[in-house]
Amino acid sequence: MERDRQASRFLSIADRVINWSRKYSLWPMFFGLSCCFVEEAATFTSRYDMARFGAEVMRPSPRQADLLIVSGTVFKKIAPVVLRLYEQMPEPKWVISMGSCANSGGMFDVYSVVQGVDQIIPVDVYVPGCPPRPEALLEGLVILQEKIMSTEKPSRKVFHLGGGTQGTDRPVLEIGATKSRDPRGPGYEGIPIRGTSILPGGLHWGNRSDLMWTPPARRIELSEADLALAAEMRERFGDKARLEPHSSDMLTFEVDRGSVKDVLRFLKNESKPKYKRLDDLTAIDESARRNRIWNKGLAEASSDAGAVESFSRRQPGRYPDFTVVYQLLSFDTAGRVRIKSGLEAEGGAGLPASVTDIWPSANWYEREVFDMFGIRFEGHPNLRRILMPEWWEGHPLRKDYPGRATEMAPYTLEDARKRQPMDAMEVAALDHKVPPGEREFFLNIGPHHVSTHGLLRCIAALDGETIKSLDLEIGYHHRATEKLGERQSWHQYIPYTDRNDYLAGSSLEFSYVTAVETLADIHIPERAQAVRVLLAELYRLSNHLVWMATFAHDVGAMTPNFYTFAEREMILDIIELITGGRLHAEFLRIGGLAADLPEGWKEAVDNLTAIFPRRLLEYEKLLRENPIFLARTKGIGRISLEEAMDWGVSGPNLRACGLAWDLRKKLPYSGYENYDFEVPTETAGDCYARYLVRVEEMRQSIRIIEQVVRNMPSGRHVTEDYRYAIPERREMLKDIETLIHHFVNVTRGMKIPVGEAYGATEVPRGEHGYYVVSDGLGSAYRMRVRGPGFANIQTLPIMATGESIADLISIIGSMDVILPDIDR
Amino acid sequence: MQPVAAGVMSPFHAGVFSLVVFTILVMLFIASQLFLAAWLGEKKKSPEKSRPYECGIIPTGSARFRYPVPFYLVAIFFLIFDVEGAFIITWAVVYRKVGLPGYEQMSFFIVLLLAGLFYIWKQGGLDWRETGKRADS
Amino acid sequence: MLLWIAGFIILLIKLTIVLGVVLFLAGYLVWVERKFLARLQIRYGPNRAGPFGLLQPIADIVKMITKEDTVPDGADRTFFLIAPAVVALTALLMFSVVPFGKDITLLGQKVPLVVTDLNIGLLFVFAMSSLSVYGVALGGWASNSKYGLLGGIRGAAQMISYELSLGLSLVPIVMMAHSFSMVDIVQAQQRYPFILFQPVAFLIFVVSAMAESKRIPFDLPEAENELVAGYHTEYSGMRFGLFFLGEYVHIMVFGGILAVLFLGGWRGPFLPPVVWLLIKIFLVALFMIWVRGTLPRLRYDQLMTLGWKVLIPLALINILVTGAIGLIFGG
Repeated sequence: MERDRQASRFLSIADRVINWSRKYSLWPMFFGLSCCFVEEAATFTSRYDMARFGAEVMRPSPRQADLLIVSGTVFKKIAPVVLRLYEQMPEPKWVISMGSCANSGGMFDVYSVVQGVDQIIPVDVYVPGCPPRPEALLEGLVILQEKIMSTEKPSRKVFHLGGGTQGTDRPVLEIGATKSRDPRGPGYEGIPIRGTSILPGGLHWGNRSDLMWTPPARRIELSEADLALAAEMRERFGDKARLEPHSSDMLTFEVDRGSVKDVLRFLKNESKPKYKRLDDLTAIDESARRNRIWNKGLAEASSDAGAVESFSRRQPGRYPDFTVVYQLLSFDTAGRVRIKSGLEAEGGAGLPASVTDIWPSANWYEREVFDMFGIRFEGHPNLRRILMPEWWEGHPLRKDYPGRATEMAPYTLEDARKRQPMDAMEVAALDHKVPPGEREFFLNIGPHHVSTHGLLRCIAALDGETIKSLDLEIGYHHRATEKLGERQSWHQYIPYTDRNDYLAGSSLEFSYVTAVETLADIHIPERAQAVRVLLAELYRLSNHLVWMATFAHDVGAMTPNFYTFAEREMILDIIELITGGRLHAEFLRIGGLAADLPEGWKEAVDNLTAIFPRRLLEYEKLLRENPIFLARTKGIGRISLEEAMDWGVSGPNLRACGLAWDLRKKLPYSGYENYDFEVPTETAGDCYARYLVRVEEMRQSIRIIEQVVRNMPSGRHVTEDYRYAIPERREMLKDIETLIHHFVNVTRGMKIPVGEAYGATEVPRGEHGYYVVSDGLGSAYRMRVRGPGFANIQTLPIMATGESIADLISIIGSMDVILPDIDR
Repeated sequence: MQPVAAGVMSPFHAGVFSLVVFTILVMLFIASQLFLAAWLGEKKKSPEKSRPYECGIIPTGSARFRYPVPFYLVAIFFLIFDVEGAFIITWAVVYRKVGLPGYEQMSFFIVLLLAGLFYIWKQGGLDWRETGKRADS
Repeated sequence: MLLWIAGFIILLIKLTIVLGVVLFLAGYLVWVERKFLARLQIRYGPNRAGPFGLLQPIADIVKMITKEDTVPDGADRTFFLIAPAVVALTALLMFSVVPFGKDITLLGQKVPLVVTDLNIGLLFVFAMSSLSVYGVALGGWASNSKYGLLGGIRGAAQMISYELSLGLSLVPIVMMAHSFSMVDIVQAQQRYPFILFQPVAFLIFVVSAMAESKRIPFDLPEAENELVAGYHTEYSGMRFGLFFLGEYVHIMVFGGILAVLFLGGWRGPFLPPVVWLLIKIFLVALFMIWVRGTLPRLRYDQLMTLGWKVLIPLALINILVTGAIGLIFGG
């Protein structure tokens, strides 16, 4: 009796000691999925300093970690990896689910996303937010500490006495049994989820957008050079390549399938100017076009019949089953051209020909089209899925494919066990067409790895530490942003654009609204233009600071991280002051901005521009004057200008090869032509050149910001064209028409005229563009996202083959990759 | 019995005996740690937990692979130089005693050693980046 | 006999204190590192566990001991289980030759303030530091993980690149002290610490010893950005803790040996010898932490190039020059 009491006293003291120790020694795994991880990383830096709680010892290996912070979207392709990492952690272990995506799928109720990580692993603490602020994560940690202290009784388990509790003891949730499918929570069954009612026409009748009148889409005047090219095309290809009469953005030809390759080859090599770069290659599923079978009644009823007619092909109203779209870019004259080619699902004249022999970069683009639409390309060397896992069924961007995860079978623990990523050797065999030898040493670097900057999987065949060949497997971060674009209304899509590159925030909204505004011919007030530039440059600074930190971290320097994040917080403070957001500003609106600049913005920005150059110099000297840093970057990961152009590389990576190609200069938008700045270039094309270019870009950004602040125009922040914009509240309260516009645009969303347009801006990583196709409805018919990363990362094997593992890491670091704009 | 204050077993002499006792202490400490590590803590085996970690992917092939030759080449250089280093070190203790003649002989030896080092250097024996395609870094 | 027993008890107490102090300091070195790095990085560092976070090392150790101990499938169990012990053992044994004060007299007998004054003390240090690589290489190889293997191989490669220059850099010290004994070496620095005579040897030694202790910029075997956690990727709980402990004891030993060889050992004015030695060790440790907070990491082949093409020739030339000067001015 007495002994029992003593034993239990001992155990309860032991409980307390062990719990106290564990509480202050929660080592998190170095593991991030998407946006939230950036905030998680910020939590470790100076302002938030997670180290105070003893939790800064980030362990890259699950074996030494106590805490798994699931920070970001759990994709169906990565879920097996998350599960494995969790299971590889030794007992006891805890899980914090950080952010809406990990909690419930959040805003990504879409085919590729698991609707909550608690369906595959147990969760202790949920941290809400999209993304949660660092303070929120700190609170999550404190809650977990309290949970450990107050509810766990580990000593019986530790001493093998039977009983006791430690670590996560909650069950994995099961859809239907312990978890509701409805993202709004239980109790809403029977009420449709908002947004489902705005399916594109054809699938849904009686859309009220038709009742709204809009002028036809913008129509550009072709320049003389364009006309000359059109004439030459006519001469050369006759009737096989037809000029689109009505284009909103660029010279557009419709080409017969058989001649596409000839036309492209001509445009790349012979035409004047030469269109050297394959900007984009994608497709549109035309099967759900509303006027596909010409509905005369509808045409007459609809007042913009003219626009519809000019846009629809020669046989009015006749759309093919699919359209394959090629977009080319000329560096000489800074111009683009679009080639479209129809395709019938049944019969027809065979498959479209692969253009991989003209542009090597077409390889991935064609694979993507195959993956998303099921269109096969004749002569493609390795046509298989790229974004979706191999076991996936169906082609998600087809119109008859369900968009929502909640419309599909739930993703379960069983799936996560069964659906394993492809074996490294299989991938290599498929990519190289030669079966690798038995003795080949394959190393998976990623998808969970400290230095892949996200869910990128590199499969390296090693000889010692030298990389003999490198294969990339992407798609672990496929958030189905293009499918979402077809579902969300034009305005609702803006928050998704931020998340297409979570380090560049507004820059991406900028690209998107530019595309829509080009299509609908909306004119933006000068003040809004200047604020857009301001935000874009602030985000460029913030992005490059993160890049600098991670690049330095990749080559082994741990401290720059903390320094640059201090200035980054300063920038985020300004952004927060102006927009209310940190990572995702969601501040731009079609037609302008969400609000005017707040009081005190000028002082905050001036404060930044005053100290930033000096600080930058200080941080930069830490690296630039360090012989080890130079040895790790100079001459490493070279790519020639010719290769870079061929592969569609853009942004600082291209400029580091010696071409001063910057959309802000070459195809100015939003008033960039009024600012005095330079486009830094380097010629070496190696990691160090990429470093120099980005650092100089930061200085130039500061210059632009100074000019914006100095010359900030006064006036409206949103266009008066309320057909397309959400009216200012002040005016909305004045007259009934504006109120109606506000009501309609906020609830149903505005209507964008039938047509298509491409809009791109120079985001920190290069050219990020949106190709929006409208069928005259409240949401896009097709939303194509052209991310710079997709093209840039394709060159990684070229740069890294023959180098060592350490070099691969510094190359990835120098390229500034981010997964959401690769996998989208 | 030997006088206790002297000899190999003397506890007052900082000799091998003391080292042996220290080693035993250290080993006891480490053994206790290893024992605690193995004994304490809940054990929960699962197939995934005992699978080697490779970035969350099921590893391909074996993790025991043959390392390419350059590594062994350098290891052999190391062995040779280490043995020769032993000569230098023995000379160093008696360097005053052997005086100038000793120094002359040893400097000849060291110069020879340096020459050998430069020779393998020139022959590329010290280049580990044998397949680097951009080897100019 | 009675005297022997008394002596043995004194010895035991002495050695236990030495071991305890070394372990305690190594544990608190982790705390110092986390705090100092935090200050370098404009942060506070741990400050919740106890005042100023002073109980942080205890929390970490208790947590690690009570954590599950995993062994991956296909691992070579024996080697996997003892590898961390090798690292910790060699690091702790290395400390045994570091003298921490003049002899003191107890019971009419001289009690030397050193664990063992081997006449080959310096060689013992080399031997131990070479042996410690077995822990790294075997641990990496035995864990049946590719990252572990690569880390283990890097560890071995690092050893063969730096062991030589480490040894050769100390030849001038031996030449000046006429002895391998650490006690004698401290004696020889009665007037001036050797760093004044041997700055080149000092530099070579510092670089080589940092490479031996596998810290940034030479932390290739564990390079977390490249190899996840390198040779200890598969280690969990206290086994990982022993690697960790070994690393910090290694820093202490490195500080102690550096102090003995170049900084005059326990010599110093006003303060007791042990305190001086501890101050010197602490300063060296701070220097190592500072370096870790500042520098990036070298690449594998660059590391080897530095060792073979710079440090070894330099060390050899340094021996020749020292010999010549010693003969000309010596006597």
